[in-house]
Amino acid sequence: MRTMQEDSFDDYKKLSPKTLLYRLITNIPSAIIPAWIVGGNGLAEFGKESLILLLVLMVVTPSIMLHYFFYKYRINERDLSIISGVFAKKHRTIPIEKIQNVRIEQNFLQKMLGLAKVEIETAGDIAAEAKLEFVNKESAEELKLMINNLQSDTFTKQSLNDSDLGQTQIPVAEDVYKMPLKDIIKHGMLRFRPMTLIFGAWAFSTLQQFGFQDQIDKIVTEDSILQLEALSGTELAIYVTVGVLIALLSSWILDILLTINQFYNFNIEFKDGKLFVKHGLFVTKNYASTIKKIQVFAVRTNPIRRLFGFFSLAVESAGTNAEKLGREYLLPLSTLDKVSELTTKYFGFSIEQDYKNTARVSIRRRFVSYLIVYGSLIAALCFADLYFLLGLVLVPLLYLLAKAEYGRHGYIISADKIYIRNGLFFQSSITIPAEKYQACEISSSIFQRRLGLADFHIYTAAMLSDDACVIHDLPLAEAWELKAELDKAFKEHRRKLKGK
Amino acid sequence: MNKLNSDIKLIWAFGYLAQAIVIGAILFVSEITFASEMFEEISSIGFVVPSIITVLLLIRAGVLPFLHYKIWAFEIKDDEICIERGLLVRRNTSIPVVRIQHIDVNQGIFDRMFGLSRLILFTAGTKRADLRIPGLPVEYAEAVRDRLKNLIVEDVV
Repeated sequence: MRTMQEDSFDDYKKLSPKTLLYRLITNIPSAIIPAWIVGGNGLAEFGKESLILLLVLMVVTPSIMLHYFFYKYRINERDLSIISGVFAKKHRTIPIEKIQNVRIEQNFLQKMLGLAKVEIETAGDIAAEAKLEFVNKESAEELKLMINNLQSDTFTKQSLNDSDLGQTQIPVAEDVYKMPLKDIIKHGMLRFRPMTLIFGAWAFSTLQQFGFQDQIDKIVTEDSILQLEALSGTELAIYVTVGVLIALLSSWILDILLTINQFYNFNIEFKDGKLFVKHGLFVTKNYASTIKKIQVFAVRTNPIRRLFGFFSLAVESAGTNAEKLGREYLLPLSTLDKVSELTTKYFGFSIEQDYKNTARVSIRRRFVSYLIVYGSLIAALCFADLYFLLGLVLVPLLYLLAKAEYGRHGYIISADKIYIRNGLFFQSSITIPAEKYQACEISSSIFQRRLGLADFHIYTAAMLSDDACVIHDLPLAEAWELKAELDKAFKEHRRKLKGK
Repeated sequence: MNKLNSDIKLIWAFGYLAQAIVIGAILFVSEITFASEMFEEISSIGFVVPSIITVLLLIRAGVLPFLHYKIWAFEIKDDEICIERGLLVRRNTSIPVVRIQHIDVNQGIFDRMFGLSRLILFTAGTKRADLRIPGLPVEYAEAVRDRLKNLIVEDVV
């Protein structure tokens, strides 16, 4: 039975033995509950309950002890190494240079016992890559100090101080963009979110919570149904139409107001390699986007916005920001010229490129998948009424849809950036700097393999954009060519970095 | 491209077998409990569906490991690591060595019996951007890990 070897047993340290005590104590509450349930209610049955408690603890304790004994960690100037696991073993190695953050936390009980939790974070996932639960407070501080010292010579620490633009410059704030109130209103007008519905649903549930259920029931059931039955067909139609129109209008107005509240005084400043964004009326948002940390750029629009010449520019940065901010909008709504101005000046690219199309057979593939969905819908509806067979008339429309979507889907790699254009109704142009490449995947389904096609995914440190950074239905050879070019651009960038 | 250690087929088969047994047990037990509540006696028809499903799962346990093994391949170069896998959807994933954030070498219970391990290379991307290679002899996985550790450079995300 071959198992993993560790470099030297002596170097490895165990967690603090007080962890056992801590775990035992924290497990008592969860042991009491089954004891209480089984033992019955009266304290007269004290003997039975304490027996159950003991039994549960007897089961839990070996597990606690085993996990304690099978957990060890070691740190040296190259990496932090953790070996854990009783039956299934896990050996994790984290190079020191990759550690971005060391957090030490203590809750009340841990403080009393002198224990601390150490969380080690690297780039990417928010969840800590390693958690030491629990070491002595002193050991935790020692560990953090050691890691900091070991990193003091490395590039990583330098890159955490963001300014890459030349330390000698005195950072001066530069106005990038101020969103005019006119544009904010237009943005609200073009959003078409079903605000009244959402607001109505929210109001409804709040009223329910505060015990207005009876009144609601009364209104909804008795009176209304009696009245409804009294109406004729036309009257009903009129009432319904008017009702819907009122809902739409109020939704629209509400949306405009909410948008004004959200983006009031939207303002971007550039300083020291970062874009500082501020906006909001009653609730203000204030955040900074480090340009060097931006992973993905997205310019979005839809047919209605496009009619008015409006686009939005959003970015996604590595890990931490995405959790809190989601999409960071740099331009919630503006003209294409303004977008291009910003992207060219601050990020060095423009989305106006010569996009290449993917394989033409993609049109057929899309059409077939739409047909299947639509066909199933018609088939299901036909159970109700064969009249729905007339829906088949719309099939040619599906083909046109497929063709149009195919036309919009394009890509190109140019000047170290990958551009992907996509979408007919939700239109987007995604830009990924080759240097942000983390991983890439070329995948082919059974059907694609038969046709010699593949999908090309690029993964960056951005969390939300995974699904957007895909090129569909490329000829297989082209996919590999693209990868080769990506590799080349990536290597070139790293060479330049080293040269610095 | 290199193949995985052939013992991985057995490990996979055990996994599928365990699933087949568990699901089969659940199906049969629920069949018995529900059937006895709804009907007077348990007819043999009720058992057809659970039996078919269990048989299919057992066939899966016997066949899939071979198919997966045929496709699974990996390559460890000095600048990047690639893997190829997938039956229905064939996936070819690669990561540059400099993007590796940390490395796991794990052994499940069955892995230990055969002296195999699973190498996991994490990048700064989401879970989908991680590379997981099962069925590697422990010494080999550890040697790869040690070599990669030296190749990983300080990195800017």
